[in-house]
Amino acid sequence: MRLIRRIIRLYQSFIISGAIILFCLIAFFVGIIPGFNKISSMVKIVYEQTKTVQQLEEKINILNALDETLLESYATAAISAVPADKSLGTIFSTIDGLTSQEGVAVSGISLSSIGSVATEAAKKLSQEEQKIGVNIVPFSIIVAGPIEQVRNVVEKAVKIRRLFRIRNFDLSFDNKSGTTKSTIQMDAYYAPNPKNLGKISDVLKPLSDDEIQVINKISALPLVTKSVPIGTDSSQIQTEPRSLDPFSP
Amino acid sequence: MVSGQRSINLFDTKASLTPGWQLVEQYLRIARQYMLWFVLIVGIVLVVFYGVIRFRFNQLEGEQKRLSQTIQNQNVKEGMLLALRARITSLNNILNTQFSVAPYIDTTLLLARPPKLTSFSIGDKNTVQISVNLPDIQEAVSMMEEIVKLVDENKIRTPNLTSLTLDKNGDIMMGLSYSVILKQAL
Repeated sequence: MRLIRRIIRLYQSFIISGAIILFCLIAFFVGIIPGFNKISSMVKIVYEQTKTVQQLEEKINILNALDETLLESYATAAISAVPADKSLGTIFSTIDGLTSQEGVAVSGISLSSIGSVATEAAKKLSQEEQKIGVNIVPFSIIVAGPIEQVRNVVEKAVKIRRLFRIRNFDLSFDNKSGTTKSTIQMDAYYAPNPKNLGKISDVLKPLSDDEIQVINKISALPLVTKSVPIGTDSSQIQTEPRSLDPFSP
Repeated sequence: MVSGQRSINLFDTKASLTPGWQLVEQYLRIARQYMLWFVLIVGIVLVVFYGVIRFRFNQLEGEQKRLSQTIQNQNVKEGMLLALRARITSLNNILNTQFSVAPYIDTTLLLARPPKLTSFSIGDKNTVQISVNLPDIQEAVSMMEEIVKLVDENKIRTPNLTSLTLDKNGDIMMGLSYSVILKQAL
């Protein structure tokens, strides 16, 4: 016991210094280094958060600057050109309007490989559809009338609001009646609306001049659709929750 | 009591430490002093810095929540804009592939009209195949001249006379093919 006391007395200063140094080392490895790591990770988080907050502020500014009425009119024009579903009614109605406007008779309309009348969610797109980014509904019509009027149908079919494309056509002539009969193979388009809005922090940009130019070009096209109002139902916006179709009722 | 000083204490604690150990002890004392100050100052700095960062973090988190809620309230506009943008991209792609095919008929009508024009069909690579029935050779010649004119005007390309038949009545049946230059519809 006396020996221990003597050793303690003799090395008291070493023991105190050792204890303090040990304490400092423990404090360094257990407190300072993890604390530094924690702070540096928090600095990164705060930096990211600052950027996110800036993006959100910019997004709010953009959203506040948007004219909802104008957007609705753009959306209606866009939907009337390329509906969100096959909208067979508008195909028939547009063909009806176009042919009656040009004074030709429609003797037949046929839709090939129409599939589901509604939009198939998991439908595999063809290479062409993937390239354009829309779904295609092929159909053909048989029209008869004077050749100039048949020509006008062919001309105007690609210049109306419900966008069509003429894939092929032929002409046959009836010399007795002086009428021309034409089978026109056409494509109509539809593009389902996006199903989700993405993340809240996703960057939002207002419509560019080029995009407005495209929509103005579409809006300027004549709407020859008869009776069926295009896009009025489908242009309604879904608000809750964010993941749903913003255009569906 | 500092070692080396006079003391009334008869029991000197440092008496038995060698000068070498005394030097080590001195260095240890200095080292512990520096280390203690280092730990203390760095610790205080870290605590202060952590406090500031934490405050800013909470502030930004609150701000983010508030802004997110504001954006959430404008869900309709955002949805409309995103859907519209996606559709405009599709519309633009469609417009770029939209060609007017009326020139097929227009160029044909410049050459012949029914009843002289008896058949019309479209082949590959914008080719039109027509057959015409003409009453005399003079009309066939003038049609050929018209074809040359359309080529010169860059309305048609590569015209080919695919068949020519002259029947006993003097009627001429001609088969023609040519390529039409199409332009974008819109």
